[in-house]
Amino acid sequence: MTDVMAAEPRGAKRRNRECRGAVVRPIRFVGDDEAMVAAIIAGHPGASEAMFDRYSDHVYRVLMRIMGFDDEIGDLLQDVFVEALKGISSIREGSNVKAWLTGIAVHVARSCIRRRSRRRWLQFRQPESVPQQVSMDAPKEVVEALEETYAVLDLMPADERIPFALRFIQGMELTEVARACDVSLATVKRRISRARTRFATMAQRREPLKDWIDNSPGWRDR
Amino acid sequence: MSGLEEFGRRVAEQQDRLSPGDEVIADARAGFLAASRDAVRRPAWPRVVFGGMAVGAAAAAAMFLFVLGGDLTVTAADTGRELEVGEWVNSPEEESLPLLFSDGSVVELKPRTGARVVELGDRGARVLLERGGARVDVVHRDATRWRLDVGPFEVAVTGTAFDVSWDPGAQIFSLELEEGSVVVTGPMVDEGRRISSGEVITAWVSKGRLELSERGSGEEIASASEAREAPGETVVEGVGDLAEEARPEEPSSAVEDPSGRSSRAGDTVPEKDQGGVAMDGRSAPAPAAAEVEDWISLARAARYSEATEAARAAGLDEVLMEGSARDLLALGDAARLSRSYEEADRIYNGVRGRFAGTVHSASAALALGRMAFDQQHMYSKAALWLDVYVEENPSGKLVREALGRLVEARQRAGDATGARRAAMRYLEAYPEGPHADYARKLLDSPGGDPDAYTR
Repeated sequence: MTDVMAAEPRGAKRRNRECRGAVVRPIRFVGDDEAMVAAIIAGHPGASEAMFDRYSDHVYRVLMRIMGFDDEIGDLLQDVFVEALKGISSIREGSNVKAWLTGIAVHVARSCIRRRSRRRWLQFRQPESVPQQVSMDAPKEVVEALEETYAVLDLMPADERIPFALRFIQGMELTEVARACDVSLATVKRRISRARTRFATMAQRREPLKDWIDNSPGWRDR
Repeated sequence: MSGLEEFGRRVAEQQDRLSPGDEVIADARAGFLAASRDAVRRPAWPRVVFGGMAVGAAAAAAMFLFVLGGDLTVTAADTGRELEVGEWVNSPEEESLPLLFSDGSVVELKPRTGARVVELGDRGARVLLERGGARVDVVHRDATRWRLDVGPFEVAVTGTAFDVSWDPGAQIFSLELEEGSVVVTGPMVDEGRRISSGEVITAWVSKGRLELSERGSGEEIASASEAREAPGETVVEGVGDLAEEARPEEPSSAVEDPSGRSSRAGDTVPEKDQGGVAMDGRSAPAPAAAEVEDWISLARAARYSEATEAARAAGLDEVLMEGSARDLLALGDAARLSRSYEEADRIYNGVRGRFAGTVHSASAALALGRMAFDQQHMYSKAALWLDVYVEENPSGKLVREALGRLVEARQRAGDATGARRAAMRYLEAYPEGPHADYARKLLDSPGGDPDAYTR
């Protein structure tokens, strides 16, 4: 296990904070994932930051694949790392931190989907009113197609929607999906099989998806 | 790369291109670092206080949910339109139609399926599957209450995934459970039978046969006949609704399967050539007894057209004179399902003439009512026969279904007064039955508009 501290890390200036006229430079953690986990457990202040910087891009993408463009995605991203900090002592030695964080991201996303489902259940908020976040100069037809894709996913049970998004949108292997969802390979295969049928059935009825479907060879041979 | 993989790749590509990821990540980073610093600084006691507050908040939220309640809603996936309770839904000829419930549960009607959501509650729904099949995915929650009425069977669901179907013509019920467990109640399973993950239950109601097997293995766990040989096995022994009502002394001319086992339709179809072979190798003319056996075997094996043809060949008059009530009812079903309505009518009426005053006669009336309703769409005639069945066999197992259909038959026949009378009668007998909401809506509708709840 390596554990190296660098007094003047790259990009540290941006994060410097002034305190009573003095400049406080957080100590940046440099080390492999195993050392990083050990440092977080030991209370090293730069280690949790390092975990965020290493994996926030990946976790953000996983959340975006599952949730689409969603205003809550920043909060969810934060929640994933807060949950990770809380559970850091449970990570086994030699575990893959990226896969472990993916599992937490799935859990956080699933909780969000179910929370929304309960809200819909009480008719507090309809699915159409869920705010979305996307670049302002995005082509209208692309935005519509993405919206429709996630409108279809919104109609699917969370246990099908999540493996579907991870497999087909994030492009993960089945074994990775099973691990992220914390279910057996057989279960994830069953869920994906159901989800693909359900998604294909509903998506084909959505006009904004027509071009994408028509330009995806083999769609109808699924 | 499959079509879906290509589609997904495109979604991901556009997301990456359009996503405001850097800003979102920067904000989340700031929030995370603040939260992690707070977590380090926070003394132990506020956690206890916050923990207590969290429990209190959860309890308050639970109470809030309980007080507010709120029934599920359901939308049809093809139009996105919210369905009303009691509304009749038909899936298209070649496509399935998912019904999407607001709790995340999905009932996907397979092509050519007719169903209606008869009840929507805060903890689940009740769906009446009148014909066809459905893929059911119920999201599990505490105290979930989901029910499916599938022909004469009721399926109690908590959280689970399964395929279910009901063929009202052939009276075949089938349920294949993928995850979780359900309890099936109905003919042959009066006390309820729990079906576990990986099991398939199939019931041929009119034949009084029920089988339980492993999903995908093709291996039968048990059948009604096995249950007779080994009491205490997994199948609840019994006979079907129509056959069940047969008098015990009624002899059956059914051919026993040489293996001594009953099995799935088509699995143990006897050889067609029952007539023997002459010394010179040419087929010998079949004796009359063999002909009788042939149509019986074919009818029991669900080879409807062949059974009807064999009965015609043997002479329908003779068959009607010699066949047992049970076999003739099966033959009537075979004729009905092979669209030989004239023969079916003749056979059922033959049973009524020859076995007048017995439960077989009542069963034939019910079969005539079903045929008029389902196949011939002659609703006045259907109402007549359904009425006869209920009058002749008021304690019959299918009276609930018959009375429910009677409401619909009269309504569809344009007999508003009769429909209202039937609805009141139904509600009096079965206030919680699958047609109860339908009957209530009918009674509440202005002028008993016969089309108000029928599509």
